[in-house]
Amino acid sequence: MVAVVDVQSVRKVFESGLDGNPFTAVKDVTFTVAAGEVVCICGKTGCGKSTLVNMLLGIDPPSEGTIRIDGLSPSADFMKMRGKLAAVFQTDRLLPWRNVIDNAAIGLEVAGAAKDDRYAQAKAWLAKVGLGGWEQAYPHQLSGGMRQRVAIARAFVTNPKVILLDEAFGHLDEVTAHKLRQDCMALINESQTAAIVVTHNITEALELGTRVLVLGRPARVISTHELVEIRKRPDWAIQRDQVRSDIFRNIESESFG
Amino acid sequence: MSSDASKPLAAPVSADVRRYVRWIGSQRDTLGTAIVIAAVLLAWQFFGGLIPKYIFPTIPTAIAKFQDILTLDGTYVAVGQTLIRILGGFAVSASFGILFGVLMAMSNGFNFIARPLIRLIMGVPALTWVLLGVIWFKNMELRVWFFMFIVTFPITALNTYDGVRAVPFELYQMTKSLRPTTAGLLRYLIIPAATPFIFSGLRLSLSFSGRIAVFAEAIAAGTGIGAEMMLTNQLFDTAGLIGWTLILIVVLSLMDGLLERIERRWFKWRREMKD
Ligand SMILES: Nc1ncnc2c1ncn2[C@@H]1O[C@H](COP(=O)(O)OP(=O)(O)OP(=O)(O)O)[C@@H](O)[C@H]1O
Ligand SMILES: [Mg+2]
Repeated sequence: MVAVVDVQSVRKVFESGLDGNPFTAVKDVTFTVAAGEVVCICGKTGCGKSTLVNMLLGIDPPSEGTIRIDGLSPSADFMKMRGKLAAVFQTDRLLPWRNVIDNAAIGLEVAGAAKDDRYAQAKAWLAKVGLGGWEQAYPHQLSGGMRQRVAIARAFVTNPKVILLDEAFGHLDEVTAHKLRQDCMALINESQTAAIVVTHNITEALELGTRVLVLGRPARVISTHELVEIRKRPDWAIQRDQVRSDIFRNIESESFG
Repeated sequence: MSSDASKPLAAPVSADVRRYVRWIGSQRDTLGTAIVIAAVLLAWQFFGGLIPKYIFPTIPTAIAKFQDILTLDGTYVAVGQTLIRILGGFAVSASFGILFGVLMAMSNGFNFIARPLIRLIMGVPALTWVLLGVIWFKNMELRVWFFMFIVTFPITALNTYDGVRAVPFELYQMTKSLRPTTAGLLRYLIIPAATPFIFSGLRLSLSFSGRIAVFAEAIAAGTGIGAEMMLTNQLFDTAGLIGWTLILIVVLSLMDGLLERIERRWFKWRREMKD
């Protein structure tokens, strides 16, 4: 399988951290993701997951190492990557002055798509996330879960090669989060996008991932758990509990990292 | 009436009455203004008779004079001249101020020079600028425009600057990740996000424009409402001064009302959020 995402020895040092000294937020991260794969990234709070996401998005370049997405560097080839990468963040990050359809269509608008075209596509994606009929509403008229659905539609609308979810279901109630997670996964599978799912919810990682990466603090991969094969096994439930306790132990062992 | 105690007390009052009470409540500002105006008129009527007429006219004299002013063709010419000056000066200073503020917020290098420059301009007394304008420019229009510009563009610029700086970083990251051009970033995020700040700067700067335009007309132009007011002063025509002031107030409130209306339309989403 050809890797869509190729991250090699990536490091991020902020010139001035909280105490004014250089601060290493990401120490050394290497992994690849192929189309159709869902790689979950787990780790303690503050271990550098969002920093990694920002580097993958290209809005913050790595201090060392290389990131290739579809053969290009998201930061050095910034403009060439338009439409290929999309993200859903922990908060919806909708633009409050735009209605639902204009929020969902913004990726296409930035890319210069004609009005009819981008509305047609945004409408279709809104229907897929269950928001048919809400096109004209404004974000403040929607619930948190609905707003996050708009954010998901906004991410998918450009047909990205890679989709990044950074704690995308983190601040929703458990029932809503569960439903949204499943809907989002269905869309990822359907579109065969490569997905990177950042979460500190291990259950979520085991539910969604084809692979789980556990990060230490500061970020480096301390263990990798392949799930595709063992998920097919009849004793998957037992296996899953085993993996869960492995992941838990690995994260725990980092407490002084 | 029903004896059901769980019903709120307001229930027997008809919906129409409640709507009317709510309407009165919403008109509180208007009501207050009306009371103040009535009080002023009463005081005027009472004291007017005690003071020599040329110092302060009686209400009938003032009304008669006001009617006189309204019948003169010259009045409308003067109002037109002043309006054009205010709107023209405001348009120039507003566009320049917004551009200046955005540049300040987006470029550290520009800000390094621009901030002290603005502080300097705002530190110089307004009278100095009028007098400088008179020395520097022969053309009357240029004098007035220069004065309006120099006083109001820093207001718009600083408000715009604050607005751009206040754009939420999370929204900035999200928009940036869509990879817009710089123009796109401005259009999709920065300008709309800064608009509440820009609008408050614009309203402030418009009200300053109005005051300053007539001030400059009085001192440096010789035409327009300001010059007419100066003339009444030279003729000890207090009734005329009151009449012209009334006209000026109406013109300025109409313009502010217009801007407020535009602002309301623009902020449909915001107004609803507050409700
Ligand atoms: N721009 C910055 N300058 C300096 N330090 C930063 C910057 N951004 C993040 N950091 C630091 O880097 C560390 C990692 O932050 P990051 O947001 O990537 O963590 P995270 O793994 O996403 O945490 P969480 O699970 O709570 O979201 C934190 O200690 C943070 O203080
Ligand atoms: Mg984070």
